Amino acid sequence: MQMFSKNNKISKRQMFRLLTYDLLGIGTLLLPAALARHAGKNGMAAIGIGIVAGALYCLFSGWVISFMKEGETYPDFLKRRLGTFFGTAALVFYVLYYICLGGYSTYIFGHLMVTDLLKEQSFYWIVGGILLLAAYGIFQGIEGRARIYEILFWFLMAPLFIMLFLAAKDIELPRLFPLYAEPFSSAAVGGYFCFEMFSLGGFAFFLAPFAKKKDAVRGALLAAVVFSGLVLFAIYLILQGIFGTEAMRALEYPAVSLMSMVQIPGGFLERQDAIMVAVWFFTVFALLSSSMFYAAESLKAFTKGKKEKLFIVLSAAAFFGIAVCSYRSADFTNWLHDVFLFAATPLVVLIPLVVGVCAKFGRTGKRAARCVALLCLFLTLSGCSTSELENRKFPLAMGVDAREGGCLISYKFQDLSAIADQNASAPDGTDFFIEDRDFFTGISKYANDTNKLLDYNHMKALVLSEDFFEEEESLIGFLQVCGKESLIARNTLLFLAEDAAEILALDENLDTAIGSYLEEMMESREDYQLKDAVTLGDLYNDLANQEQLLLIPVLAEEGGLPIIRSYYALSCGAAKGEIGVQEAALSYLSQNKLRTLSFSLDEQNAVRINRIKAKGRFVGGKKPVYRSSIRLEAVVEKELDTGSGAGEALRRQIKTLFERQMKQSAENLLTAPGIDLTNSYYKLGLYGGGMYKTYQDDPEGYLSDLQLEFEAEVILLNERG
Amino acid sequence: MEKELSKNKEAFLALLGESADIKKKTMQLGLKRDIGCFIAYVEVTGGSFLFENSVVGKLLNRFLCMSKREIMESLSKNALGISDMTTFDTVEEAADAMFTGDVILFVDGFDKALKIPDKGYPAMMVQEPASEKVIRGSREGFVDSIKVNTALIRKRLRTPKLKVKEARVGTRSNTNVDLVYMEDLVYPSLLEEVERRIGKYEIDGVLDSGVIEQLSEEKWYSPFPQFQTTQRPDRAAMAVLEGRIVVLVDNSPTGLILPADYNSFIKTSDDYYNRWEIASFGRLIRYIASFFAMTIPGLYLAVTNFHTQILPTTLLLSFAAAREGVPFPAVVEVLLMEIAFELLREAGVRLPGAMGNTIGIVGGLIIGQAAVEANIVSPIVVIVVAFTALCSFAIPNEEFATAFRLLKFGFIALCAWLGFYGFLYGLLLLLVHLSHLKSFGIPYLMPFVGADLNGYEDERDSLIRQPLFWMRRRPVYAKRNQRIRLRRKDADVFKK
Repeated sequence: MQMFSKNNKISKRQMFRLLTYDLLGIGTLLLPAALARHAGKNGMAAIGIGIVAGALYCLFSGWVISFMKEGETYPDFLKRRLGTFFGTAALVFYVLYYICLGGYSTYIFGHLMVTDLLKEQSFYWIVGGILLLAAYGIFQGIEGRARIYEILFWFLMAPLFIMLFLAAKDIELPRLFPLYAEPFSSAAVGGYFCFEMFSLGGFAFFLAPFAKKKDAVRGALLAAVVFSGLVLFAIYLILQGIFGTEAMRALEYPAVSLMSMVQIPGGFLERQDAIMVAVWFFTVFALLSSSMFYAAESLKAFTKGKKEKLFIVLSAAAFFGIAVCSYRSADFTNWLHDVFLFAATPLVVLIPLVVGVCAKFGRTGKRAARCVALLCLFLTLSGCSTSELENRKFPLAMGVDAREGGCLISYKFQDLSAIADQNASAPDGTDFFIEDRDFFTGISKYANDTNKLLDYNHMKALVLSEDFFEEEESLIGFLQVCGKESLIARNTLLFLAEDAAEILALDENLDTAIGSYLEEMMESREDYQLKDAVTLGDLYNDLANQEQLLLIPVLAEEGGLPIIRSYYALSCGAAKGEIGVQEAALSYLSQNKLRTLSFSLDEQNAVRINRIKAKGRFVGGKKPVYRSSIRLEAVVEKELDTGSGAGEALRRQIKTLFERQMKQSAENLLTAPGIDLTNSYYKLGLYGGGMYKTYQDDPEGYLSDLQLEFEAEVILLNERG
Repeated sequence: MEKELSKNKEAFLALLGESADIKKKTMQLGLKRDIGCFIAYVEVTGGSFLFENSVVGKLLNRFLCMSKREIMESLSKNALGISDMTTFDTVEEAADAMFTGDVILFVDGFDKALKIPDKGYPAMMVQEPASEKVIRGSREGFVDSIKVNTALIRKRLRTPKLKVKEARVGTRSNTNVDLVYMEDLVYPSLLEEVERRIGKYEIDGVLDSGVIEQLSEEKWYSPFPQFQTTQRPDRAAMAVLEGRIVVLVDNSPTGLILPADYNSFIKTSDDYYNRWEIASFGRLIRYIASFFAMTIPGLYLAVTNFHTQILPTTLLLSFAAAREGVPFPAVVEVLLMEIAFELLREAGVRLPGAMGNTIGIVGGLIIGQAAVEANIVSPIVVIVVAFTALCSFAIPNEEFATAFRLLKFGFIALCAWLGFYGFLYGLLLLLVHLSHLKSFGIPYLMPFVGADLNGYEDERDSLIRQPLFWMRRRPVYAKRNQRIRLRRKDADVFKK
């Protein structure tokens, strides 16, 4: 009975969603890092170029499809228009292309799962399992496949958009600018990368006979290209604004890393990267499943539509083989990607072009097209383990100290018996120390020395000793180990201390674990917000981007409690030593990150400033002169006689004092350790105009030429009363 | 209306068409048996004519003792001696009257049809169904008798276009099986297909509609039912109005509705009786419940054993603290509790009413508490299993809920083995299966997929039940040219 369905026809909406899934998955996963490498800050322009090229490709595809007869398959169309020999040759290309594409997407799928979801699970199991599922899905025909993505569409897009929306508030504008600092050629190269993704829209040729209305194919494809292009644009914009170009280059899957950093309001989920991997789970599955379907469709043409199931199984086996080769050999993966880039993508355009020309101009065109096809062929030829909850230990804080010939790693765990029973006596084993030759050996030792698995996913604070931090080799080694397979979350708070183990030992004096204490300490600070606190991710970004001032809190003990003694300055990736808390506060103030500040007016009186609004701009010509304009509201303790003009005098006094203090601190820091308190180098790309090119790769030269000016506008609140 | 009985009868039968639940009888009255008469009524609404205790029986017996002249006089002047008798001038009016539950009598030589009130539709013997309870709506439920069940639908749909097709299935049981449908709404191909599938097997006995269901479904291996079951006549009537077919089997209080889809299992009758906001809210809750009934235990395992980063630290540490001292791995713990719950459920169903409730409370409270105190399971797992059970109870259709109860174990296995990946894998597998599943040609995921078949109108009655006045079109089950079910009229319906 074929009453309502099973007519092998899909609607325009189904087609749009199917194509969007095909385009979106691998594109959003791989393109950001590739664009960061090849187009840098021109990445967004590259995406724009890609979208335009993709849209033109859609129009062109629609034109070619218009020559297909109603219900005619693409392989039949190729043979009809190119003749048996060239049509078969073109089909062979499509078979190889889809098998390579499917194999590559299978590899990416498996790799993503092994890297981000199931760290110790077998790649082969994962890949084998998903290919079986894809084959089962395809056995059932195109209608069922289209329905899967039709129903999934908003279930995945809505969370993705919400996460992107939440992430957007953390964009730092200076990371996005200047837009055209790099040559246009980089945008063009990036644009080609994007087009490589959009050229997957070539699926539409195979999809055309399944469309309820042939004319709808072009519209669906165009909508899919524009939609996925815009999503890619949004993702790239956010990634660049949060990580910066350099840091993004170092990341394998920046979009997934981004998901681990987004904080959902309410805190009911700690990190949602594992959940959001679902977006790529389904989208990459869509691509590999489509590739399998079209590979089988192409192969079917050789046997006049027979043995479809056999071809599906053969395609799956070929995908498995390619995925395994890619997994085992990075060279093979690179080669495969080069094949896509330099051979497959041009052919995906050229073959339909040839067919279109043949269809339009008849026999003469056919001959010309055959020559082009032959030329194309020659061109091508050149061309997770499981561990029970009770078998895990959750360090809430970790300290790393430099020791002679190695390092000391200290962990502080939450006392679980205290959670289960509030009256329980103080337990043993809430801390653990390992001393070894390096961090990697140290953390590996833990697993051997205990029967527990260390789960770093809930670590709140990481305390590094200053010695360890300043020793470049240890630090880089540490960061590499942490970054590998995301051992420690990027949003872990970062602190320095003279002796990290000593700071962690203060846990005994606290009524909560020190990790939680440090997190709450940063959360409860009135002067600035937790989002401005330095995290491990900031350190990664700063060491990669080397363009801004990072002030890492240095902890010390006072009255048995940890306090922030000073801040350690890392300027453009270079360690500059400690600065005082007051200087750090002024630095945050000039960067608009401070909410409130107090300082002494004279011996008897203090002034408290609130509602600080700081703006900075470059006023110099060739040499950088950076002027910070700060507007603030001040409250003094003493009573004012408003009629006598004392208020105005006091306002002027505060203004002068504030400006003097700012200037003095800024100049002192600029002269001695070479720290720009205003972090103006970071904004050079955004506001610096031509100066950006001069100092682009010379932060030290910039700092030596920099002049800082401050002007304050003070509103005295006492005066009003 | 003519004076000749044969003409009236012909016109009346042409209007009614073939319908198994309408009883028609031609008789001869009068002392000489020289007056022909024709009686029609909806089965079960008329009493036995042989017995004196039925109005029609008494009347007919009296007519047998009267001459032709007396009968005509009685008809025209004495209203047959029945105070509630009404005469009709057209066969349409007569048919309407018959569908209200009265007997219609045509007498040769008399140019009017007569309505004789008799038993009427069944009411007192019908009880509220044990499942499918509603807060608002009819309290009537199907009973074991197929005749009563068809009459209960007929009572709600008083139109000659409602047809009942009857067949006997089962070589030894000879069970009556009725197909109830609206003649002008149903796809003929659907009707043919149903008939074909019911006649596909020869079986010795059909003792419940479940036998027909299992023998007629397309994908036997799917855990999801491809027929919707109901014990509510209003639900069945609603389905008939949508162009669907209701299959009734004698001796079974459960009717089958087909085609069925995921959305139809989530709907309840009172979704349409309550205002749209609360109906939509309830429906959303049921959708969420159907998802969680299947996935919560698996997700718990995935999160606690693989992806601890998802949970807030304090919650995770509470989980870890609760697991301290439990000797079993989390998956065993979850399985233990789930099996214990299934045992309780099974015991509760089999035991008589009051005892069944007691066992639920005893099991839930005492065994749960004792298991936690004995460190056999952690309190978190008890919460997880209890929440899962609540979710499965919120699914309005028992057969549909069963699918989720079974799949839950699949998800537990996948998540215990592969964590969140296993969860996604299971979800994708389920989605692939559901996207290919069909009930009599209708995609199971309608109207979330393929909604273009009906111009996206079916989406108005999916996750959100839109206000009734926006739901102007029938769902995709109805014939394409018969999809309008609501239009503005502005007529005074009470005007005589």
